[in-house]
Amino acid sequence: MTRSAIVVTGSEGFVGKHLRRALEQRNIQVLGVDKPGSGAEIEQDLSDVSFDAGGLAERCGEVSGVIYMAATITRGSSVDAVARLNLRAIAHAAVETFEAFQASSPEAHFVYCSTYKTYGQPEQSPIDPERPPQRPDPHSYGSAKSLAERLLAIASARVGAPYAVVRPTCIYGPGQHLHNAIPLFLRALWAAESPVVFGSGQNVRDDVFAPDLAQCLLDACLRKSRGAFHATGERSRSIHEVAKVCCRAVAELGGPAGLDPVIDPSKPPKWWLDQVFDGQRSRDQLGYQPTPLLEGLKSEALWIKDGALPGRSVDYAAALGARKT
Amino acid sequence: MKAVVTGATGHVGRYAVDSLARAGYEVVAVSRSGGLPPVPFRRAAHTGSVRTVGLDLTEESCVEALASALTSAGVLIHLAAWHPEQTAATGARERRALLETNVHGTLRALEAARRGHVPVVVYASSFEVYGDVAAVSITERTRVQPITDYGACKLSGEDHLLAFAYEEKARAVALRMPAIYGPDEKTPRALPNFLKGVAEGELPRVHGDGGDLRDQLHVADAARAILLAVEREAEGIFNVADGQAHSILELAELAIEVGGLSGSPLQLPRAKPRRDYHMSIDKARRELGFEPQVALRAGMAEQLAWLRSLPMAHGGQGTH
Repeated sequence: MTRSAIVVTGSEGFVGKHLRRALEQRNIQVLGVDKPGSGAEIEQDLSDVSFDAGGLAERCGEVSGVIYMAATITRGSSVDAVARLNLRAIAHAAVETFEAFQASSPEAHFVYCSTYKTYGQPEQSPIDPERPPQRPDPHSYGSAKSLAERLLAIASARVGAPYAVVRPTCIYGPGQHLHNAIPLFLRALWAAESPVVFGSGQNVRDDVFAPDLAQCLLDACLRKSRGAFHATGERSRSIHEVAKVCCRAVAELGGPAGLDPVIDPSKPPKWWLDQVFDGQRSRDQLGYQPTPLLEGLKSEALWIKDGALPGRSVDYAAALGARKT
Repeated sequence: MKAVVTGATGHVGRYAVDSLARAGYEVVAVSRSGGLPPVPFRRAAHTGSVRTVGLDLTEESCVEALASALTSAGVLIHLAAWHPEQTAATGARERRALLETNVHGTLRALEAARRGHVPVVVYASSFEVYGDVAAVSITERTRVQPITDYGACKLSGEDHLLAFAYEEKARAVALRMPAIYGPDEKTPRALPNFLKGVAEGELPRVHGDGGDLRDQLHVADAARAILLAVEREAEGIFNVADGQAHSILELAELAIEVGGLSGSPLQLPRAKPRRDYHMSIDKARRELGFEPQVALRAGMAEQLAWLRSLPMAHGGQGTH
C-alpha cells in the first residue's frame, strides 16, 4: 500500500530538513511548505496576512498527514513588527491550516510542533505534557506557540477532529544556529579553547537531538496519536555537564583533548528556569528513544569541524544513524 | 500625569476617561472615530482635560500614531477590543477578526508603548481566559483553559503584555473582568436582556433552574479598578468583579423587582449545560485596594433608568 504525501510546513528549516530526511527514509512523499526562495515544493509565506489555507490544502490534494512546524525564533522585542509577522505563521496560519486540511483530507492527521517555552514556571517536576504549566516564558516565541495550542484545542473541539502536539526541549544537532550554547562550546573546543559556561553552570536543561524530534513528530503523525508529547534528550543535565560532554565528544573525535569547561559567573543567563520533562508518554505511545547526548554531540561536532554548511546538516545526522545500525 | 486610553469611546472606556479626568489626569482618548467619549449617564460633565486621537489598531500605521500620542505619557490603558455578540460561537471569520483586533491590536499598542517608553500599561483582560474550570471560587492561580477564541486571544494579550513588561522593565497590570453591566451596555446576555424585557413589561425567561453562577461588574466599578491599577504600585494579573456569585435566577428576580413588575421569572427548558463562573477578588482587594461600590440592585435600577431614558423603545427577548 502506498501512503499519500505528508505536508511539512517549515520543511527547509533546521528541524524541517531532518524531518524531510526521516520521511524520505520511509519512502513517504514530502510536500514541503516554506518561504519564497526556500526551494520547498510549495513556496508560501505563512506570515502573509492574505495566506489562504484553503488554497494550500487544495494545491496539496489528498494527503495522509500535516506536520506544522513553521516558525522563526526572533531575538528582538516580543511586540515589534517581526514578532507580529511570526505570530501569524506560528498561530493564525497553523489553526487555519488545521481546519483547511480537516476539510480537504479528513483522514490526514495533524501534528503541531510547539516548544517547552510555552511552559514558564512549572508547578510540578517533571512536567507532565498533558498538564502543562500556565504561563509561557515572557517572550514572543513561547507566547505565540501557546496561542497556537489554545486555538488548536478550541478548533479541534469545534470540528471534532483530533491532533497531536509535540513540545521539544532545547533542540541541538547539525544545522542549528551557531550562536546557541552547544555550537559555541563545540566551536571553542575545535579552536583548542575551553568552552565558557555563563552563570553558575548549575542551570538545568534538556537537549533534544533534532533528528529525534523529527522522528517524534513523524511517529505522532503516522500513529495518529492524540494529545501532547515531549521530545526530550535522555535526561536533564546542568549546562556545566553538557559542556563537559561536548569536551568529551570533540576529544573522542580526535580533536583537542584535556580541556574542561570554564565557569564565568559574571554573565548569568537573562532568563532561565530549571525544568525537567516527563518523556514517558512519548516512550509508551510513540516508541520514542532519544539518542545519547554524546552521540548527538559528535555528529554536530563533525558538522561544525567541516564548516557547518547548512545544506549538509542532515548528512552528519544520517552518518550517526548508520553508525547506530 | 498623561494617561492614554485606547477604546476610549467603548462602554468601559468612556467611564475610565471620565474617572481619570476627574482624578486630574491629562487624558488622551484614543478610538477609531476619534470622537469625544460622552459623559456617563447621570453624571455631571467634568472639567478635566481630555484630548482625542483617532486611529485604528488593526492597521500597522497606528503604531507610529499611537507612539506619538504616548510621548511623555505616564500610563497606557489598553481597553480597545472587539467582543463578538456570542463568544461561544465564533467561527473562522470571527477568529480572524479577534486575532487582528485583540491580539495584533494589543501587540501594536504595546509596540507603541515600547517606542514611547511608557512605564505603566493597564490591560483589560477577561474571565473567559479561565474557560473550562471547575473551581468554586476562581483565583488568579486557577488553571487557565480558554474554550472560546475570545478567551484565548485575551490570554495571548496577557502573555504578550507580560513579555513586554519583562523586556522593557515596565509595570503591567491585567484586569480579568466578567461581562460588564451598567448604562450603555450593548452586549446581548442575561442581565441586559432581562432589563430590556421588564422595560416593556415582560417577565424574564430563565433556562433550567437558573442556578448557573456568574460574576457581575458595574462599569463604574470597572473604571474604579482601572484607576487603582494606575495609581497603586501593584503589578500582574487581577480578578475584578463585584465579589458576589450571582445566579441567573437572582438577576431575573432583581430585574422584576427594579422594574416594579410582579410575578416570577418564566422557566424554559435548559438549553446549555450548567457552567458556573465565580472569581475571588481577594488579590485585587489586598493589592489594589479595590472594593466594589455599586450593589447589583442599584446598578440594575440605574441601567433600567438608562434604558427608559432612551428615545426609542427597546424590544428585548427577556431570555438568556
